Amino acid sequence: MRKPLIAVAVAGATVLGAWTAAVAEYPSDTVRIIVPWRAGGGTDTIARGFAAALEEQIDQAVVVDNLTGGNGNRAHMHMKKAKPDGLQILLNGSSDMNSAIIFQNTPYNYDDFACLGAIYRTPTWILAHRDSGITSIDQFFEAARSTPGELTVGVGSLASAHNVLAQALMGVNGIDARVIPFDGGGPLKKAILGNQVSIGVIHSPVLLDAVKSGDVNVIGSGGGLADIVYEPVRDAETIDAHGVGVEIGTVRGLFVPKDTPEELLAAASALMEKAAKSEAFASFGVKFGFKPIWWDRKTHCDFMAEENAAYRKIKADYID
Amino acid sequence: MVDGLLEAFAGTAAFWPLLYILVGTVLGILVGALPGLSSPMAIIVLLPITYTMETVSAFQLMIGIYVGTKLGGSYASILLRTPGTPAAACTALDGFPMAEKGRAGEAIGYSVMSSTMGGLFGWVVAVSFVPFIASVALHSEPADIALIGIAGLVLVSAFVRGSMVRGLIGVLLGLLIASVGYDLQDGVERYTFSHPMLASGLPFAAVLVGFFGITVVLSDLEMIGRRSEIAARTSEIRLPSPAAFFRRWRAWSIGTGYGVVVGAIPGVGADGSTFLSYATVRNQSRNPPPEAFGTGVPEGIIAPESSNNATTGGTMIPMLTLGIPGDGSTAVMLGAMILHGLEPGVMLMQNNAPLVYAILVAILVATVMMFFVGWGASRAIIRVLRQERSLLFPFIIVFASIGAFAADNGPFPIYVALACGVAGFFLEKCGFSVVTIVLGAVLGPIIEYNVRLGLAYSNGDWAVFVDTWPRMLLCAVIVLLVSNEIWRATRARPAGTGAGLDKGSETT
Repeated sequence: MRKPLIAVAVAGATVLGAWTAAVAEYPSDTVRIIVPWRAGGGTDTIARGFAAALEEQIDQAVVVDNLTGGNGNRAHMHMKKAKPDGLQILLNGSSDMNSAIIFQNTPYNYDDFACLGAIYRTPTWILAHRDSGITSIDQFFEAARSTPGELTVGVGSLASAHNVLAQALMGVNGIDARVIPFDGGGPLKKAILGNQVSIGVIHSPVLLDAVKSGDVNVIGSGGGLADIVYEPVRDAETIDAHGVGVEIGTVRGLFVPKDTPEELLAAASALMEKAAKSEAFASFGVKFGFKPIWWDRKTHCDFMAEENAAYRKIKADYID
Repeated sequence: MVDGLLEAFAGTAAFWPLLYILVGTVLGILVGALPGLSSPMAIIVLLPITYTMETVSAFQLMIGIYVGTKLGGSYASILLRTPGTPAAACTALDGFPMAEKGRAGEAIGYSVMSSTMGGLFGWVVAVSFVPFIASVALHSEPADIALIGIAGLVLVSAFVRGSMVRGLIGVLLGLLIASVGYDLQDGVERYTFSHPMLASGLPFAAVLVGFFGITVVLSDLEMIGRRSEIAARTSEIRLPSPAAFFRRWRAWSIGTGYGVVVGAIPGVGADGSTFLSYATVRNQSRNPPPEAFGTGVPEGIIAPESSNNATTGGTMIPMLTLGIPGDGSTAVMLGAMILHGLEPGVMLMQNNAPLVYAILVAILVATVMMFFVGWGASRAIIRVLRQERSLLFPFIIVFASIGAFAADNGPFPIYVALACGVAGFFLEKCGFSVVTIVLGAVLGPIIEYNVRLGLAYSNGDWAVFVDTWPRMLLCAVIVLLVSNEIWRATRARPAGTGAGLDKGSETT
């Protein structure tokens, strides 16, 4: 009778030992950063910059895995079911996740994941081509009021922070202009550069090069641009000044499955913090055009909840 | 500009730059030849290795891959009828029948020559008319792109000449396949049956390898079932002569022209230009007659292959001068620029002119290298076909599955490919052409998205499709194409016999 008990005890001790060891030597294997979007986009570029910075901190390889499809569905469902060993980490923008959840009734929610911390905060900004003659939000309002329903507002897609910003700004101020959804940021970028839309709403720092060359003007922003490397646009007008009470942008954060043990979460988060604050990532920030940030687990998770509630309210008030 | 290019040539003519381009080109041809591996994928995998390299070297390597995959893609199309990319699908139409007749050497040879010529001429045109190409990319409005797509669809339905109804049904099936998924403009889910994997639509690469590769295996298996021997083929290793190639100047000049201009339009690119040039060359061809296309005529390889490589120049210009990616590879290269500390976009030419010129020179050098590597390798590649034909089936199935799997890094696309293969098999038995379905699926989303976007621009006013000279011209072309088809059909009917009616349906 004793033998089984001992066996259980030994097994238990082994598991416990292995567990503590797993936490102590985290990560014990290759780390995969899961990106729900195609290679070459903003989130993907940040993921690759962060992967290089993280690799310097650990003895393991860090790879970026683009699990695309279903407007992010595939990557999120994959993460929801993933083993909670901290070796697979989802990197996604807060507003990309929240707008999919709110507009598309996704089979996952933001609280299906545990937050590891956030590494980038980029407001959504409003751009207009030099030839459009629009250089400020007020000017856009004025033009829209004199020709109701004529001006166009380009957004990356309906289920995006771009659309939330456009609808909130116009809804609060009673503006009648047509929102045109594009097939993602790439085609929208082209339409703004080609002066085919009156204004375009897109994540900063997309088209920063055209802003620097003077082809495109920043007429407003969903939030403060203090972290942008290019100084002349730092004091761009925010939508807050036009009655939209929330900040709209995207916070790129790291997520793991919800049932990841607390010790592992703490160990992983500490490591992510080191990588986010490293010199390598700071120099990536200079290339990317934006300074990285570090938000701890709680700040990150609280923000996800706040943003979700704010978007839900905007959708109920101005879109539905 | 000429000074800049000459300087870049001088800089490239050294051991290391040439080696980087050569390694990239060889890798590219290999990657392209394997269905499922694509140029963006190869570039992304190599990206971390390039962090420690000089920026110019990194891009020389990437450009080599980009150019090489364009040729490599045709190998699998010709030998296995399993295109790894939509752009290579067109080459399967005549390349595979040609290989079946034991003329794989010719097929590969024509592919190598037309890819090279297309690449070289495309480059010269693109570099000579940088402002024009950039302006095509920037000022092509949704209405223009929609009309180009519709003209393409009309050309396509003529693929099954004699049975335009079957052609149109095929195209409509293609449109149906392409309409599955989350609709971006209204946010409505179409034909998804609440399945999350269907929300982003049927993976196109899977549809492609299914309709082409798996369908052909099923047709051949059926022949085994009937105990009719599959003739053992002795493939000749004879390569075509340059004279035979240059005699067909019409096919490669049309292919190249489409490649540069249509390739420069973001979102249409090589996928659209190969099919458009194939259809154009086919429709205006006297010798061989249009009916012969699809049975293994060199023109059917030359047009799409020259077009495919000519797009390298066409897509590179908007990427370098405007920061607008034309396809997956250029999107990845733009990301790579940021990671290498560059700022892609309208300022790149001002701030990093030497790099821009070096990239342009690398395309040219890679194209020349691609010729020698491709030509040298063709003999080895043809040996594949000297095997017993049934030995190829498992390979086609395996490569088609890998190709489908890689579309989404998951098993779902494999099911889609198998379903499309079975559907394609039965449709071909009923006299439909799977090409029309694939073309409908390629052009459908381009047309739908741009028609709706065009109408959104104009606030619902259809006059947007005739309000500029180029658009009126395009509309006139479409009307002419349709009336030409109707005229041919009415003229052919009294003289035509039942046998003539089904002839075109063999053009798969």
